[in-house]
Amino acid sequence: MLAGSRNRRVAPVAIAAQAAIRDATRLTRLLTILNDAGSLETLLERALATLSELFAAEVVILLDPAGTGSFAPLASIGLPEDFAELPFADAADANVPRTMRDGGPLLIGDALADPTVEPQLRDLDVQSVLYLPVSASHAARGVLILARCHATPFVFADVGLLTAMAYRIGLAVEQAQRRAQLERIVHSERAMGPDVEEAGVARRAVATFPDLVGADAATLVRLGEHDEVVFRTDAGAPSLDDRRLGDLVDHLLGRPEIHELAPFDTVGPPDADGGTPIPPGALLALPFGRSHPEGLLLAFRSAPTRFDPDVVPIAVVYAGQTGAALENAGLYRAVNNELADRRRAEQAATASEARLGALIRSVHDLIVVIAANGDVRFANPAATRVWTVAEGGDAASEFRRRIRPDDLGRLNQLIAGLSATPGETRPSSVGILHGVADWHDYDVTLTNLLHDPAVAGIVATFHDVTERRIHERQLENLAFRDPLTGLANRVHFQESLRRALVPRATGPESVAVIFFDLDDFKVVNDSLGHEAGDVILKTVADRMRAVLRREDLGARLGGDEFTVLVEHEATVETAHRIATRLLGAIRGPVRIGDRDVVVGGSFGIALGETGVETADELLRKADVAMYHAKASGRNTCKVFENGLATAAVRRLEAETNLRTALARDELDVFFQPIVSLADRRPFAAEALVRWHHPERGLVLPGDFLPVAEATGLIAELGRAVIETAFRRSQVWRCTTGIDVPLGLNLSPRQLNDVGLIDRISGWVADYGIDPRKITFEITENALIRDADSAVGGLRRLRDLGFRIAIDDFATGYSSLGYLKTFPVDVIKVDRSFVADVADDRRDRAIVRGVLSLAADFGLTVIAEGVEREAQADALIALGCTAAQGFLFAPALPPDEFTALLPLFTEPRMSRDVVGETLARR
Amino acid sequence: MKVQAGTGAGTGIDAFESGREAAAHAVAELGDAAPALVLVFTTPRYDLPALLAGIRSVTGEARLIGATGSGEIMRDTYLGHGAGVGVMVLSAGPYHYGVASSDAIKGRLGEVGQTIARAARDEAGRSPHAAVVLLADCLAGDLQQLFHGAYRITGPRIPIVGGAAGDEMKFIRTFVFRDGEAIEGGAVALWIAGDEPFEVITRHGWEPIGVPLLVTRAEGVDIMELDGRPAAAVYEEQLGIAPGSLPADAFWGTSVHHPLGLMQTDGTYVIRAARAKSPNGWLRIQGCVPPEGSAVQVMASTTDKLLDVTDEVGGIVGRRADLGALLTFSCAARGMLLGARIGEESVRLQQAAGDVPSFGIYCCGEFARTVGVLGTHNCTLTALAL
Repeated sequence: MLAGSRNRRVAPVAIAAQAAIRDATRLTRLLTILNDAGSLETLLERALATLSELFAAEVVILLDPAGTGSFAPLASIGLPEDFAELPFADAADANVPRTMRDGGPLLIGDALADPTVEPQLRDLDVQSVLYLPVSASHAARGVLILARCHATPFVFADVGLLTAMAYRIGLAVEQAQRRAQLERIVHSERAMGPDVEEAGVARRAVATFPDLVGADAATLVRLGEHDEVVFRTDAGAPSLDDRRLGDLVDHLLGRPEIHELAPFDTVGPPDADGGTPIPPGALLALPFGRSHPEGLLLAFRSAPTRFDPDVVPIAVVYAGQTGAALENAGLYRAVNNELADRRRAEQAATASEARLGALIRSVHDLIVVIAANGDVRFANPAATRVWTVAEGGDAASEFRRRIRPDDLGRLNQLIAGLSATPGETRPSSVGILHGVADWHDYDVTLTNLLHDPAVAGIVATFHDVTERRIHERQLENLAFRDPLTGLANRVHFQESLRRALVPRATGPESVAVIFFDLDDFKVVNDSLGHEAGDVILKTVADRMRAVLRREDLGARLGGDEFTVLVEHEATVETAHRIATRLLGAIRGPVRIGDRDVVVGGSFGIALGETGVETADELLRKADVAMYHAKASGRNTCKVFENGLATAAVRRLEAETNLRTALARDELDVFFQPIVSLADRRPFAAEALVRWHHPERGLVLPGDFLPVAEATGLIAELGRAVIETAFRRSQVWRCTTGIDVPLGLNLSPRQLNDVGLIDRISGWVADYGIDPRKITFEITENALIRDADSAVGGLRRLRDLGFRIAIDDFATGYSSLGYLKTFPVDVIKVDRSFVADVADDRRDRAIVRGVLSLAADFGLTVIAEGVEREAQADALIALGCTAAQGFLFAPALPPDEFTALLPLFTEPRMSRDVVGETLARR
Repeated sequence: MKVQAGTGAGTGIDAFESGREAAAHAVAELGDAAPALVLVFTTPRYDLPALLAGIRSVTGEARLIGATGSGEIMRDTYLGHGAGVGVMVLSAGPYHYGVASSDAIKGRLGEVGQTIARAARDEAGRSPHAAVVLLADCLAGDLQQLFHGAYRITGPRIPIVGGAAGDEMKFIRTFVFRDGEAIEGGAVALWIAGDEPFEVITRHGWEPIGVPLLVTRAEGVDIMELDGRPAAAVYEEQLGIAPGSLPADAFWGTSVHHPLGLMQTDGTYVIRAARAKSPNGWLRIQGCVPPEGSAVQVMASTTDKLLDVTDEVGGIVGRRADLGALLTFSCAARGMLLGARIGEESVRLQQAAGDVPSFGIYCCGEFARTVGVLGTHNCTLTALAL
């Protein structure tokens, strides 16, 4: 059993558990919260509380200057309420703007001594502060701050994970704000709709606007025929005076965007007196009008943070809505004026008051009076203008011809039904053709006034709602479509997924979700700019559309996150096939300017069943799988299984078992003979660790060394192996007089273990070891990975007299340079070259090259993994003199190896001397 | 200037008389100092308004807070279930006190936490340092939300301690007290404003056994799945018994010995007790449920280890010379586990506190923020030195 491991203190599981929390718990917990569609307030409260708990941060603050236009916290945990609304410093060199600008984390380890830490944090005695940029689909929109009041600083792993989470929080905030904005815009349309006063409409529009776009102030400007300011309405912080507003309007009207009724936004210079009419801070200008700007809706921010590009499409709809409401109000004003004139004219006439009433209502709606026989008895001028009925023409047939054919039958039925119920009113909606091909949407109200002798017909009032419908469609688009890519957005995707997972009467069916994001998208965004990022996102969306089947739903959830809902033949294989096709498609180069940019993707797949999983669960599972794909090397695809979520915990379990094994002395050292190829005489051995598992029997290193490596247990395990081998060497020397040369493996971590070499020197004395008989083996890849730290450790070992071997030689990228740099004595040729050395010309060439190189450097060569006589013969033919492998002997328990010791000194050997000796026992 | 503290107990049947007796004894111990704050811990068996009237007949208009629980700690004495009422009377000393309460807190815990902490602070006034004692109905739901609400007012520099009011483990009705009022289903906050930092401590004496488990499904008061499997079965496996073999009616008898430790980033554990298992194999948690995605371990301890923490907890009054009282909040489940040795807790706390009087209650969940925002515990002992 391993010497030295007995009574060794087992490190607390809690230490290892931190790794499990980092790897699985934190990610899963935060994703669970961020995937929940709730109000922004609830989402932030839960997310920040969870961050506080998971990262032991007493204070967590989210600032969203791009969204809110303010450096006051959007949400916070741990800031007492007196501080909760105090703005953070916004000077260019202050920590928050700096973090946003640099786009990377800013860690202040000694906050008490750092004057840049904001006073509201200093007053809480925080000791370390981490500032993380919160990006979303575009530039950094804000900063997430975590502060600790205790001495433990944030570690590198925290920063990495938090950076990823800050991004996810940014996306969640963006989406929640989008939802809130859409709700607000729908609400404002309802509020503005009934207002028939232009001033009232303007007041309402301008009052809601700052909140909608995150501005401090807003101004609505109504323009006259000659682009002069007819009136202005302001809301929010002090506004520009008339002169400066006039200058600004003139300046804006000179811009091509405004002229083309497109939005314009900019960040003004800090000092507005420098000749530009653009005020300091940020400006968003939205023109409205039918064919030319009839007015401007302006939003101002005092902070120099540009308006969020995602809010601009919403603002455009809002401006359109405002323009329509103002136009309506203008029409009402005109109509009222006209009515007043008509009333005066008709008061003298004999027309009935009822008809007059109908006319009053008719001026801007289309009014038609339909007789019992279907004839059109009356059409107001607005109607005849639309229908262009010539004097004496057949109004009835023209009326019907103009109604959208799909609607005509329903309208006729409605009229027929209504005819029987005098006085009743029924609403409907129809399409009416204007001119040759211009369809308008109308709400129609039918009132049966057949019994009224003054009217004697059914009065149909048509109200043109085309503009409203356009806005409704725009809103629907904003609500369900991603404006950048045209793909479904998160709301649409979640709703579709929810519908897809509804239990079916026919029994459960499979539904798959593919979740992917773009590897290195942030790098592109940061280095080439957000416009380049947008080009990539649009290209990916186009390629998705090309690759997906008609039945699949592709969506962009936000940022660089995309999903696909697979309902048709939803198996893992189908989803995997789609994901592979997508990966192939998105990896194609994207032309940006004069260069080709290539991005990859990490894909997660989750499969659910109708009636079993919820949409949120399935999406989160795919999300978790995606993170695992990312962690296991990019451009890959992982399928979610419950094991994934608990993978880190399982690894911890393996680690706990391994610790127990160390404590219980379940680990042992075996020895594999190294033989002279000429006579098969063993002359050395490699010490190899084995695990006698109480239930699983003998466990090979491949099953537990990765865990030991990953958790750092390799250091403890390695020490135990070395000490055991030394002790065994002493026993053999004392009992047989043979000093067996031993090879011992060293991991890179062991070379960084500062105490190990001192410990080895101690053991050399304790066990009477001749260092020249010990060869420490280190893998070539480990050397390459961490050359600087490895070389120091190896030199110290060499100085003590030990020999150094390079294991798995020729498998690395560079096999020559370090032969000069490192103090190497032995090269071990990797088994992958030995396997086909008898048959493969190239492998033979490599081995020959290694042998020649070794000869030049004066090094010994040992071939590993020799299993067949043909391999041994080929190696001999190439000039190799030493080897190990199953052909000669496997790794043997110490007592079996002891039986071979006499062979070390026997002069002549038979071909299978080792095997024969072992067989005799 | 050190705060003066006096304690007294009333063990009679008559509520008014018991209250008066306890208060009279406590005030007598106060000497010349005037009572400024009265702390009352008792059993819900009394006519509580009468009990409070009896106390206030002695203490007058001094602010009063308290709660019903599952036993009281009075100096070195444990007043068992139904035994009576314990009263501690404090002078103002270097402190200003503010008290606020709310009834019907269920469903609006976060808002109540903020409201009562703010009102108590406003009464006590601003000061360089402060501490908050929070007492609340254990049946009101996830009291972490209440704690969180209070934390929004205090921030990290002001410690919050306290516990959830109980009813001798019957879980039917609990009360908190504010002045002469016994409030069912309510919460009360005491804000103590002072010039020096306050000493607080939280210890539990539990150690993990078995491997960490991931909470893969949790809802309401239940952990439904651990590691993707029915939670109760996984829990039973960790105890080394066959899944399903623990009968529902005997569950608490076992699980009280093996609460769950919610693993914290710094390697510590916040304790959560599984009070029952449901027929579908879920674990019903007392108070605040570990959320999905958190990692837990099954814990174990011994009576000796549970008692060992009392020395350190009581010892906080020795950190400074100007401390005059120790307020402790132990867990009713600890009381169960200590069994016949429960009296040792009071004795050791008082021994560790020396001359400084110790006064406390056995609660159904304890409040104390360690790191981050999490501040609710089970099976834990926490204390505030004044």
